[in-house]
Amino acid sequence: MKMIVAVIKPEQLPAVKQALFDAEIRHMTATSVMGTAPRTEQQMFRGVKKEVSLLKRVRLELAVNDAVLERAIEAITGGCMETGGWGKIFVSELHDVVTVWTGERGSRALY
Amino acid sequence: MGSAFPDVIPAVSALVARVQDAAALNALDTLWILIAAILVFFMQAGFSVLEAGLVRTKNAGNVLMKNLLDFAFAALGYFIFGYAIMYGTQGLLFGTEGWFLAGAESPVEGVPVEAFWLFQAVFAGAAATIVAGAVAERMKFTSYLAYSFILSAFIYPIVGHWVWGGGWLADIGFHDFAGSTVVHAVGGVSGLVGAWVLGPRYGKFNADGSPNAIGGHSLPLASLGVFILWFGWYGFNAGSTLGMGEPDVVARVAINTTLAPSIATVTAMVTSWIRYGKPDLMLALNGALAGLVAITAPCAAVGPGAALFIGAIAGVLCIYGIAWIDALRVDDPVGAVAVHGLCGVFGTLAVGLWGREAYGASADGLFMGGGFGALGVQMLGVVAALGFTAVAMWIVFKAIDSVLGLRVSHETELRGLDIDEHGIESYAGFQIFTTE
Repeated sequence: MKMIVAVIKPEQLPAVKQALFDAEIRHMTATSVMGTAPRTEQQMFRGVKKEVSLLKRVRLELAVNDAVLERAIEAITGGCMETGGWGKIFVSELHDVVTVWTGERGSRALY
Repeated sequence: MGSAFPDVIPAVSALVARVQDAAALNALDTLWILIAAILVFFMQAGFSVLEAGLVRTKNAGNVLMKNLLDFAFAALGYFIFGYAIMYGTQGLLFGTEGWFLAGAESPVEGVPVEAFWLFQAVFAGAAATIVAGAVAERMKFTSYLAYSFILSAFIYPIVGHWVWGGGWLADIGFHDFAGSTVVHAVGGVSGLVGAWVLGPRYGKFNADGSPNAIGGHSLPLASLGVFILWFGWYGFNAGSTLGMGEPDVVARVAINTTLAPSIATVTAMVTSWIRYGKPDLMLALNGALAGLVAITAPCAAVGPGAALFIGAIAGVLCIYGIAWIDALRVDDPVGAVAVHGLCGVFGTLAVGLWGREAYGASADGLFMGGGFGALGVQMLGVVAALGFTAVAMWIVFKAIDSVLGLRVSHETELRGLDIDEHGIESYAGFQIFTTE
């Protein structure tokens, strides 16, 4: 079992969501986060420049079985490439999963 | 002593002349037109917050900017060209005198041309700003500025001349008291053409053509906008009496302008309740506006009973209209085409159904025993005015598209027009979660 954390831009979310949906991966958590970027973004407020170093990002978390991992990564990558190609995907080992309602453990608890 | 009189007499005659000039102007009529103009100006604020509330956070500032700038451009365009085209001469198609108001005269006796101009200019602004909602979240800012100047300087004044400036529709007895067609349907049809030429927002329609809901971000703002519009509408309709000469007409217009939107709100709410299972706030708000738009043409020519019929039908019509526009795969984020276009047409035709000659219509309407004559004239007027507007605006939008480009890039649309077009966020410091 793997835990996938993907950090993408908000404007990439619709395409990534669609790509995951098309790959029949329908369970994820999305949160609105801020992240630093190598290049700052410039905004203007009443004619005064404002350097924005913490930019809006969306953090996706997906727990998947090993068999689904590559498909999930492909879907996220594909969705990101449709809209600018930005994004980072982190994959880590997942020790255990529990479904509260049924008490199922491990990979049986994942789809 | 005797030498004092030659000094006094010119002073007295100057005073007499001033008193005579002032008497030639009707203070009460002028005051009423100025108050009404100021009320209609405030509708601009209503449109701004209504449209801002109905778009997503990432585009709110852009919509506000468009609403601010289209009034500025409407005032300038209507000063330079618009007034001359609309009220310049008694030509059948358009006027040609009084550019920059030079030598322009007021068609209303006793009211200075400046006051009359202001009242007409805020109407031009209203027609222009209706479109901002229909093309929201995807139309380029510079192209929008170009459009708003062209509409208020040329297109709107031409239709206005036909109906109010002594043009050919006025000659055949077409009756549009305060502008269901001239202002609202012209704005609505322009919005329809604009939204159609632009194409839908990303994610609005699925491959099979079924629409997705793209929710507005602030119902409180949208509701405030509708209340402000209703408030301003008393200036729009009751001010179109152009004076207090007949207080009974002003009072009739004011009561009709209250009853029609009230019942339209109720019928729209009930329709949404039956159709969608819950009483829907957004649709009830659209219903209020539908009633206001529909009563705008017949507000003087009908009694309160007919106003109730007109409002009730308009409320239902706008709910179905919104679904019809979706079925055409035209993306109108705020429902401007259904509310202003469709209900504007209905309101204009209503004069031919319930209008009374005794109340100032050119003939009794169909339901008042006047036969089909008045209805036919109203139909002809609607088809001519809106046909012209649709063709002219299609050319305008296509021309702007080829010169400036009409639509923002796909990336800008996804990121939001606030950040890419204006370099700012409308809600800095708030955590906004963009999911579509």
